[in-house]
Formats: sequence, structure tokens, C-alpha cells
Amino acid sequence: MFRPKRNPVKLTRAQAMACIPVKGGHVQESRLETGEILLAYPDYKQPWFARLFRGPAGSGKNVVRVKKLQLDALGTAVWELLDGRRSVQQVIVRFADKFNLHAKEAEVSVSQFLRELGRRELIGLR
Amino acid sequence: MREIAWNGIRFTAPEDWTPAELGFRYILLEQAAAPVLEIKWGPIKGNFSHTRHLRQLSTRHEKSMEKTLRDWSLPADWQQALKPFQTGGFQWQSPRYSGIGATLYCPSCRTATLIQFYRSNPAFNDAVASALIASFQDHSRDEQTRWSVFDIHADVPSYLKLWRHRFTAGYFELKFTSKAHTVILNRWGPASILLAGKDLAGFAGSVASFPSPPVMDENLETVQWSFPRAAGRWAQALNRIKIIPFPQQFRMWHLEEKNRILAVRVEGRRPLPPPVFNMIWKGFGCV
Repeated sequence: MFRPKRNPVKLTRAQAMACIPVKGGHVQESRLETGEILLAYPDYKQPWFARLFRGPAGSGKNVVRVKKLQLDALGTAVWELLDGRRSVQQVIVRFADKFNLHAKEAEVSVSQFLRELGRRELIGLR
Repeated sequence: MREIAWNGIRFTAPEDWTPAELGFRYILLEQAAAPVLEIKWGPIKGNFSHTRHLRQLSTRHEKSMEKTLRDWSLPADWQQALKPFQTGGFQWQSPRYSGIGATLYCPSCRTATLIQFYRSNPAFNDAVASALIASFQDHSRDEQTRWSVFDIHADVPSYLKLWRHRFTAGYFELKFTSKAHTVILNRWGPASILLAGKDLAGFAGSVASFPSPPVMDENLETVQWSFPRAAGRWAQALNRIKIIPFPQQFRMWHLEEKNRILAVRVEGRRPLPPPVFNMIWKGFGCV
């Protein structure tokens, strides 16, 4: 509560577009019958009530909740484009080409999606 | 170069100059997320004076934006292209940006326009500015208004005035009104995702409700509803006093090669005349 807040690093648009999104190693992905991807990831941010049900220290019974996120068809397409080599700009271009989207429209939707993945700590930017 | 047309004005601009802000009488174009062109326009009552407008702009901007504004004589090719207008030029400088521009007054439609280029953007060059100025029009030569932004274009009768517009990823909406009608143009994309597991009629049913089954064309790429006139005198009288306009005509079609779905919806107390409705949907398309 009293910890000083860190100011987030502010990137220019060009810097943000050149970043390479990398999938988190802790994220497990599985494909559903519909072809969409289901992401499962441990939630380390335990709420206060989870701490109440935690086992005694050293008992090894600390429970880590697993969260799941089902991506829709567009989200799946973007997730598949994240190979750890393509930059954000390259992902946007590929996504726009795949669905024949206007460049601006693709940029808005992909950057929003990546921001959401980043907020959930499912990807990092290199 | 591609055409940009919005609420009466139209011009051609480089492909990568895209709208960053659209108001009712305002356009800001950007290139690589930096402003490159700004246009404001509006009707003028009485006489228009370039000097007076420049003085007003200068006072306002120097105070609020630390801009210095000066008179600037328009290049010869601008003057040649802008012959139908009364013109004046200006240049400005602020801590972040610098630019040049012109005020135009069209005596035939009594519209004043302010165009300014951001010289500080590397995409700006004199040849592009001259070509854009040469293509500029502030009124249409027929009774239709052209609309062309992002990847959509439409021709709409001039008596239909823009009421609302919305451009979000995957969904565009232009809503026009007149005394008797509301006309809504919609664009959805990507169609391959939106139509997964359903046909066009199913998709139409998910975005609007209709009292009767649709009429579909043979190749299932267009659905159309027309709403029959209420039967009986009481029902017709009730329709006349309804405050909320109700749907009259609806047409939705799938542009498979563009991966888009387009729709035209008409609301009001009576339908649009079929030639007008046909003209609107035929003029609505995707680049």
C-alpha cells in the first residue's frame, strides 16, 4: 500500500511497433474442437481470502489458482502469429493481410488485444 | 493517392494519410501517428474576410498554443488550382510543429474552409500538397454528397444530413437523417469470422430484429426486408403518432472478395422511394 509506484516506461509509437511480443513460459495453450485456443495460466496475484485458505508455512499446500482464457477466432489468429520473432508491426501487417482488414483497423484491434494480454501477464515485450 | 470525402468536402490524399479524427466539419489526417493535414469548414453568413479570420486565429492560437501565425503568399500552383475560391495563405510555428495553410471561401456555396499542412511531418512535400489542393472540392455538383473514408464509400442524397458516425475496429456506422427518414449505413468485418456457423440472414437477425422472414437472392449473398404497410386504419393512425421511428427497408449484402458485410437500413414513418433506396445501396461499397 505504501510502496512507491513505479512509473511505467513510456514508449513512442515507433518503439512500441518495433517491440517483439513473446509468450509467457507459464502459459499453457490447448486447442478446442472449434479451432480456438484456450490459455491456462497460474494466477499468482492471490486475493486476500485465498491467503486465508493457504496451508501452514512449509506444508507445501499453497494453492495457486489456474485461470483460463478462451480466445475467439481473431484472438486465436493473433496468438498464432506470436512466434517470438515477429514485431508488433509485423503481426499487425500479417493480421490485416489474413482478414483483408484496413491497416488502421488492424492496428487498433491487435494493439488492444496485445495490451490486454500484457495486462494479464500472458506476454512480454522484448 | 486515394479519395477522401466527408460531409461535403472531397480531395485526394496519399494512401498512408489516414483519418485520425473526424468531426461533423473537421478532419485530421495523420501519417505514422503524426498529424499531417487538418481541415475545418463551415457555412458563412455575410461577408468573409481572410484578414479578419487570420487575426482571430492568430489571437486565439498565440494565447493557447504558443503558435505564431503569419501571412503567407500562396504558391502559383495553389493560386491556379484555387481560382474558384477567395483565398488567403498563412504559415505558423509552434514549439512542436510548424505548418502552412490557406483559408478558402467559396462564393457559390458560401462555405469557408481552413486547410493546413503540418510541414514538420516528414511525409509532407510540396508536390503532394499541390496535388491535394488541386483536387479539393467543397460542394458537390449534383444533389448527392460523397462519403469516402477508410475503406468505405457512399453516395447519399444531399438532403440527408449526417447525424452520427462511429468507426470502431470491425464496425463502422454512418447515420443520416432528414425530416422524414433516418438512413443507417453499416459495415462489418471480417465477414469470414462473423459468418462462421451462420448465414447472412442469421447474422442480420443478430444485429436487428425483423417481424417477417427475409427475401434472399439466389446466391445467398444479399438479404432484404421490406416492411409491409400496417393493415387497417387504426394501425396506420397509430404508426403516424409513434415517436420512435420504425424500420421500413433493410438490405444487407456480403462482399466475399473484400471480406465485409454491408447494410443499409431505413427508418421512418414511410419507406424511401425505391429509386432513392436503390441509389443509396448501389453507391455504398468498399474499396
